[in-house]
Amino acid sequence: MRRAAMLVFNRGTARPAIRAPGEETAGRRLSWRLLNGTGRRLIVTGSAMLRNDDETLHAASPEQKESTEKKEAAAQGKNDLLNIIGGMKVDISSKRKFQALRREQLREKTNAEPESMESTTSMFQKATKNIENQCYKTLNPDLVTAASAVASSMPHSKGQIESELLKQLRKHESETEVQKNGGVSNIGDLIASMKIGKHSGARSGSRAASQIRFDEDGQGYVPHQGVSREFNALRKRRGLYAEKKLNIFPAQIESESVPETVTQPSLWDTELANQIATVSEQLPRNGFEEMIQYTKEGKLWQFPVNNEDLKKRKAWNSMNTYFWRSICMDSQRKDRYAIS
Amino acid sequence: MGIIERYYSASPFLCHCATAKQTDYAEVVIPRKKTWDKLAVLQALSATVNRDPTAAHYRFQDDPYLLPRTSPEFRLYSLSQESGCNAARYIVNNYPKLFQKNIAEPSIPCLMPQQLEPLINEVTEEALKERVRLRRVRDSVDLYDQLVQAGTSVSLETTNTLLDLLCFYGDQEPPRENQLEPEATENQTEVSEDSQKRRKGRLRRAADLLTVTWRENHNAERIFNLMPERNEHSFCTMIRGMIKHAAYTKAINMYTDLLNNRMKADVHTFNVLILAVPEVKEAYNEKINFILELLTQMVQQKVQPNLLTFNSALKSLRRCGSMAKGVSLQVINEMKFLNIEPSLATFDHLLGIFYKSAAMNQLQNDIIFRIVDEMEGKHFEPKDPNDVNFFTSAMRVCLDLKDLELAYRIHKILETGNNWKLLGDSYQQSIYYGRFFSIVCMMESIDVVLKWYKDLIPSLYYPNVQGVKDLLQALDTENQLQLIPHIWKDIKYLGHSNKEDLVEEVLELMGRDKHPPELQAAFSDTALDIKATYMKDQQKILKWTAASLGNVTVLILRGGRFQDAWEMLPLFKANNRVPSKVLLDEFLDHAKGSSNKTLAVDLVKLASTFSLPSTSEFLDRVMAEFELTDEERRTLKELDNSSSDNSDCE
Repeated sequence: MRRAAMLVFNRGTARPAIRAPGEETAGRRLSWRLLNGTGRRLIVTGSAMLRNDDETLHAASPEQKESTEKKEAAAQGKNDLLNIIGGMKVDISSKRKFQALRREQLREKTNAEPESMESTTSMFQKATKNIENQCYKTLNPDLVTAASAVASSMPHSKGQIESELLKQLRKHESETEVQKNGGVSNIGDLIASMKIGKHSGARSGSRAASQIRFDEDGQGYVPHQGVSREFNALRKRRGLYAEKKLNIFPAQIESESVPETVTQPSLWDTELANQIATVSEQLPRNGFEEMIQYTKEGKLWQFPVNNEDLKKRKAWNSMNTYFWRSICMDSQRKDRYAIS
Repeated sequence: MGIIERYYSASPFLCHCATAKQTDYAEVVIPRKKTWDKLAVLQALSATVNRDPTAAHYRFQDDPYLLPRTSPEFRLYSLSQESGCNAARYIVNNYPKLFQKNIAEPSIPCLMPQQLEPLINEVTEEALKERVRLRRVRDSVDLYDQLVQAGTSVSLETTNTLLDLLCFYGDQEPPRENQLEPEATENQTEVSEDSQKRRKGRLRRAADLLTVTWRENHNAERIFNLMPERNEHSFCTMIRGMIKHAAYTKAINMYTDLLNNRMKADVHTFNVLILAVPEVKEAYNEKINFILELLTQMVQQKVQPNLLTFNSALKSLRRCGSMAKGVSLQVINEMKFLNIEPSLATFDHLLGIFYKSAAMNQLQNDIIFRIVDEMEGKHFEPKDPNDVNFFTSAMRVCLDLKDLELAYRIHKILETGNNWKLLGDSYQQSIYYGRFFSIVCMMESIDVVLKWYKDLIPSLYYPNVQGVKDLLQALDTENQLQLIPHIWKDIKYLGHSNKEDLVEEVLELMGRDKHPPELQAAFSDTALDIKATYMKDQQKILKWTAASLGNVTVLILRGGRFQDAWEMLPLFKANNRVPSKVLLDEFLDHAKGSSNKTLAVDLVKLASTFSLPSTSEFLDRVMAEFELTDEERRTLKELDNSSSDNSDCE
């Protein structure tokens, strides 16, 4: 049975299994809310979608998915989503692991798909090229409604969001099998990119309100871009060098005949170097660094001693020969120079 | 946070050893000989040593008595080390006859007395050169004047070096190491530019606060005007000196002179001119245009820009308002086009341009994410004196954005390779770690917070009062108040036990709710300790307030130490504070619990002496709950009457 894995956000207390109409549970699933009977943490290695028709963790009633109820449920789902997302607590240490994996993924990729400015679908865009999107089988209708619920809760470009969500859902369906067997390398950004801030207990109420803004009054937009700020870290950025340049300097300036500073550096240069060195100077943190510093200043011989170094050889020889000479008293021996 | 990546960055360690050829037996491949750096072995060894979070910095003597425990002590001990070095150098330089024996081979010049007095005493150019080399400003100027009056011609080069000296030091003497105090001349800066000997722990360089200004009848100007011939170097050094000493309009005029003489400026001059732009123009677009114009002139004069050119441009753009954002990105791209690697100062200026304040609309751009993406995994070298400001600014932005993940990424960049060297002096470090710790406290779960706490404190960072308050708040929201006694010990260790607001916060957290008995016992121990701190306080920095007295008493009482608690009550009177109703209620509960009638009566008497409005309530309660003799009842009634009379009168 294909069971997609999910990321757990549980801190040890199991969340109760909430009976809800199908869209809500699906919506919650889309938010990767875990339900695990034991309440223990489960780190999963697959995509974050939960299939409905197996022994799900919700006691969802699959038959309640009429489209007529969709609208209300969507509205309600929105509120629940707020609660859920507000209550999500991400385990940071595992998140970092996933971040590292995601970075590897990003490095493998070449250049990106165009970014969509304020859409949450950027969260889903980072599927690696290994994932084959051939699988277009129909999705579970719950998931479809969940996708639409999520899309409707987002402030901008709902239609686009929804279609992209659905596309992603299909992708994830296809890759769960691979991920179940295969490695950890295909962690969806869904997991890795859950960048919801850490909430806990009494703070969650105020935090959620400030972090996630829904258009409560249905005006279609949110005055402050709370949500997109959340996803700042995730969306595909153009990179620092994507703008136009000044076009002032040519690529290679042919320099005049003689460079000015052909003589030794002036006071200004030495002082600049001095200033930079002072500013970035750090005292040694351990004995070895201290030895390095002393070696640079000339107070210590190179470690390990270099016997070929002439200056030291003289010292070395003199230290050695002093002993030898005092023992053997070679200069006192006259027999060597005796003329036979 | 034990994961520290170790990069053997400065040494040729990155193995390009060829992998063994498995199959080639016939042919022996002799690998190329590697030449190792002189310091390679030591660097490899030092890379194996990780930081010990339980130890103080290596620079301190490893004796418990001599390790600094608070940040003032840290500063004091670092400064005392430096001053010891200075004192030794002073002795060696001033009494060179005593230090002539040189047994080291090869001889170590930096340990021998340095020659600071000029040797040549005739009026020649050599003497002038020597004085310039020894950086003696007055003597050089005098000698130059003598030479000119004597009619000896001084070469252009020497005059230029003299001009360099004058312009750099602004016609003041540089502070000398063989003097204990700096010369007291007007506008003297306290810290010299070669201030390696005078590293301050936490104090900002005084050069930031007092800048030497360009006087009117400056020797440099005079000499410049007297020079029979001037070359580009002369003009350039004058411009640089003027800008360094805040004579901006003169510098621009000099630059115009330079152009009129059909000479070219060098890249350093352009760099400082670009820095001077915000001072000479007022409107934002004028500033930007002037910067761009200077850059264009650079091209016309065929001067190759370097990193500092663009960094100066960005630094000036910081003062050009929000129009500068687009231009700054173009500047970055220009740098990339010319293959100039950005340094940390570049990124710092970008942050300064884009994140001017913590207002919401400022935080919607994602420039910091782009920057951090760009920086990850790279090693940076110090190339610009402003590099050290980057990490603190970045952490400030993280704090404003409340983005924990970004903070972790920046911290990771800090730990890559040798980037830690760019964190700056200990003042900058304390700011950086302070901000980092506060964002961790704000956003993380308690065990991670405690993990960072053990890691950073006190080996890297001595938290200030705000930092400890953040920690307490984190404990509070996670209901981990049982750690408070331990934190109180740390507070004492850090020297914050005389900070009234912090102590009151601790007491407040402990005293707010009732807790299980063991915890209560621990709290009462801490409360007694705090009381002792208050009592011991000689300078009367800590003043009892009603809240703190009440909390201490309540805690002691709850911990079961009735007698100590009872002894606290006279303190209220002594300090003119009034106990709260809650406190007296608790006493009454205790009295009821131990069926102590006299206590109850005493309490009511006490309440009446304070003329508490709730005296009558107490009275009723005592009457109801205790079995009193008639005499006692009468006494109480009298009290009640008198107190009610009092309250009627008021």
